[in-house]
Amino acid sequence: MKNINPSNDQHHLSASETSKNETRLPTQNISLVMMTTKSQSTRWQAIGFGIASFALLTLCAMLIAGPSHATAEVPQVSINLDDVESGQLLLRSDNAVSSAILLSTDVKINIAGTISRTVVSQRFINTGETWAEGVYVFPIGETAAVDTLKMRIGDRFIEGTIKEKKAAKIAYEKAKDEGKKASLIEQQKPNLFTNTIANIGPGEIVTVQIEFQTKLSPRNGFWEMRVPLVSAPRYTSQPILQQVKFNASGFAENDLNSSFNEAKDVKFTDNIEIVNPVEITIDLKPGFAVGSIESQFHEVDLQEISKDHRKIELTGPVSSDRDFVLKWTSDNKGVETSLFKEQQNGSEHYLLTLTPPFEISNTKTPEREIIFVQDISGSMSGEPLRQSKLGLEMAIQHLTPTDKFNLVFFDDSYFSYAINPVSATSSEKAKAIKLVRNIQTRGGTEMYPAISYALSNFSYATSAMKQLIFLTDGAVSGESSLFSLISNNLGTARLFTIGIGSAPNSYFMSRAAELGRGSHLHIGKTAEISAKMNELFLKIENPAITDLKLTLPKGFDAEYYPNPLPDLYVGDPVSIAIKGKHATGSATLEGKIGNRAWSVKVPLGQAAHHVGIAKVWAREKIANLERARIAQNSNSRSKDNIDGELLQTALSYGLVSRLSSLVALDITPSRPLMSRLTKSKLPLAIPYGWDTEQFEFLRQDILPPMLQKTEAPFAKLYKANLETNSATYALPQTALNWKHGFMFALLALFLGILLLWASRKRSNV
Amino acid sequence: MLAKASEMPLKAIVGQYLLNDVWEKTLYSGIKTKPWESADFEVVGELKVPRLGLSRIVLNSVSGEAMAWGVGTLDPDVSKQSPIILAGHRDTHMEFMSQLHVGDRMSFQLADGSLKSYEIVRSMVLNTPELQLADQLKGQRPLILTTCWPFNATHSGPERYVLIGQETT
Repeated sequence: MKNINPSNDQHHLSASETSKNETRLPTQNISLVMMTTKSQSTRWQAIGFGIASFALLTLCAMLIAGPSHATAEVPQVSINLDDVESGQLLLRSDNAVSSAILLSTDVKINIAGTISRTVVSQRFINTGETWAEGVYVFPIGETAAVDTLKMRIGDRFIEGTIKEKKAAKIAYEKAKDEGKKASLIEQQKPNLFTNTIANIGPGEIVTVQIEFQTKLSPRNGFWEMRVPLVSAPRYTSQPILQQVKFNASGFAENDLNSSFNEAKDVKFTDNIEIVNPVEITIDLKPGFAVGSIESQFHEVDLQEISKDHRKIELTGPVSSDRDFVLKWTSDNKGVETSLFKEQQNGSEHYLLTLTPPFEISNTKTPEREIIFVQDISGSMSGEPLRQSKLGLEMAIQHLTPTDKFNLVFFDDSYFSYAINPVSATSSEKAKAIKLVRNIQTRGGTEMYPAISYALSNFSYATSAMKQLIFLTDGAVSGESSLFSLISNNLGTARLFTIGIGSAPNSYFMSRAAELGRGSHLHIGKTAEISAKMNELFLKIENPAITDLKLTLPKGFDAEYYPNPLPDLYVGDPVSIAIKGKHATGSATLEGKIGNRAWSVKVPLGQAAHHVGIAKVWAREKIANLERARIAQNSNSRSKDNIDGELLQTALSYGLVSRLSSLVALDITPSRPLMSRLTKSKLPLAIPYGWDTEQFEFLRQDILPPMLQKTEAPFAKLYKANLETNSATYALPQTALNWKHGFMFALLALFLGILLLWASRKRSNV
Repeated sequence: MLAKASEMPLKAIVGQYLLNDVWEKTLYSGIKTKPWESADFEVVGELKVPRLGLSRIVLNSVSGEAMAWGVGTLDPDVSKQSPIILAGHRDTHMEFMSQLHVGDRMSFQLADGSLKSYEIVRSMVLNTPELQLADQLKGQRPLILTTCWPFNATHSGPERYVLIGQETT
């Protein structure tokens, strides 16, 4: 058997392998009978034979457990999605997977404060000789989600729309049943965007445009923006070109394309012309005066619009052989604020960003109360506990005599180091470390009483900063009751979760930290413990601003998120998204630096316009609603209310969320019915609102001369969607699905007989 | 229930004998004929696959009724200079398509007695029930076999399996 089978059907192909021999039986029998009846057949004879062979078929049908399909070994080339480091179009055709050739990349990035919004447009060509199914993949980073998708495949236009998940599934199924092109996009891996594109014709050009938003997180005052460019195949490299051919299965290309010799007719050179050119433009408004700015690997044009606004552009198109990396720093000495604005859905949306100075001038460490909660349940046995103990020891070493601390250990019960938090003198620290070293894992996990105890162990009378540090692998049950415990009893304390080991329950720990207004740290390798623990402790030892409060001008009815506001740590800016109507006057931010009061007035009228701020607000609101939902414990009615509001927000701002997803539907503007009959080609209509620079092009204008010729081989044969005339044939539904119905009926009959027999037997007795 | 479920395969088997009879007459007389009075289709040809030793009587319709009895042509008029596209149920008459591959030979005989041989040059799976053929290919008058894909699916979907046969001389 030498069928060509699509590689996505592996599962069912191998499953049917066993039934191969049985299936042939009925077919051969029938054809034999047919031949003998040919000359002297009468209708009745034929029916007689029919019944005979039907009986035979019945037997066979009973033998065949599964339906029939003969198959061959399918040589499968696969591409591991983990290896994808930049935007690629993977083509699946016949029995191979390969990367489509990238023609161009255009990246536009808008950075406002801590938020960056990226628009990536990429063009690919299917240089294969067959129709292919494509999968577009782009690494977007863990904190990002694609909210806009536009595609042009040949002359078809496909756009992604945000729909409620249920509705999205229905729309997708409907489009699929009608035989239209559609795809449902659900993020499979958190850091990778994938979208399947059906039916890419040979020689067809695919343009994909995606938009996504990322939260930038500076490290030690350094900000970095990386655009993944490398690793997509380029048509300079001969080996990849060969990979794009899928002819191993015997498609008689020699007979059909004898005039075309790829090796002779298509020449690839990279010296004269820039290969798969990349253009990048960045609009940088970091929210502070830019200190230094540097593009690591590419020559750029730098335009200084103001002290806190830069435009960065590649000097000319470059080739995509290395990632683009832009780094910038701030040179601010104090806390800086910035304000951006966008009008959408009849409201004003603001993004207020607070950037703390890199070094804090206030050297006096505030008083602290720290309670460490260490999980010593069975699941922590071995390496996790060993590493966790190491981390805990380091944390204790770090304490200063002005700090007070306590240790709580728990399995199915809990015990503490002291009754009340004690001052971290060197003798207390030594004693505590000794205790930590002797700790062994024990029974089950009962987190609730331990956390409840720890939260009440803080001395609420003092104005000291209260920090709860929780070391666990997070293997817990009853997460929801823990979440509501934390949100109801936290008070002014902050919860920091530290997951140590290879597989901590990061869902629980990051949610718990969010509710606890602290942060979550994951340490995967023993070697990282020391450095990462140090980083965390330096950070939380000395917050830049605590007790942050936002007061909005009177009469400005607004919603802002995150709510409550987080603390501001050194090197870790905070963005607040505000939505409201008719803003006048100033917003006031108040807080404490150490023990001193701090405040700043932000005139709302001076906000700079910036695209994407409304989406930032909506995303923050959704995150806040998710936190509120988690804290609801099991109150299903208020959970439903929260879900309703969440969905409403996601739909009106066009965001992917837990309840909404992106469906890509064919929106190709329809042409007059009779247009196929006219010889001249109608000009292509670009859907309204689409970027004409990216989507409106003529094939010959964007194809480099050396690739113009690649059209030749397919033009002869399957050049359906391209410039030549073609006809579409609707193929009928061709399955009876009788086997399942038949087997069911047979089973019913059998059962019936059995019952009859059983009742007879009984009546005989 | 059993009767209902077995109606389709029964029709499929019995149909071929009845149609064979009609085909013999058609070929003899050269006139396309309806197999029975009430039928809305005519017997127009016979498809043979020598390697598998099988043949299928071809009707000039892809209506549900016609396809229950045999293999149908998409275009009711087979004498036109257009590709011949045959469709049949994947679990009855066209089940054999799962055993065909590129390089296999088939023959197709029309009612006027003309017999042409074809070689399968291409097999493909379409995601949608739409086959697009460029005019150049259409001009070559290929013989195209189509059926539902995948072969062992339990429900009817939009995917189609297509084999393209090119005339050999």
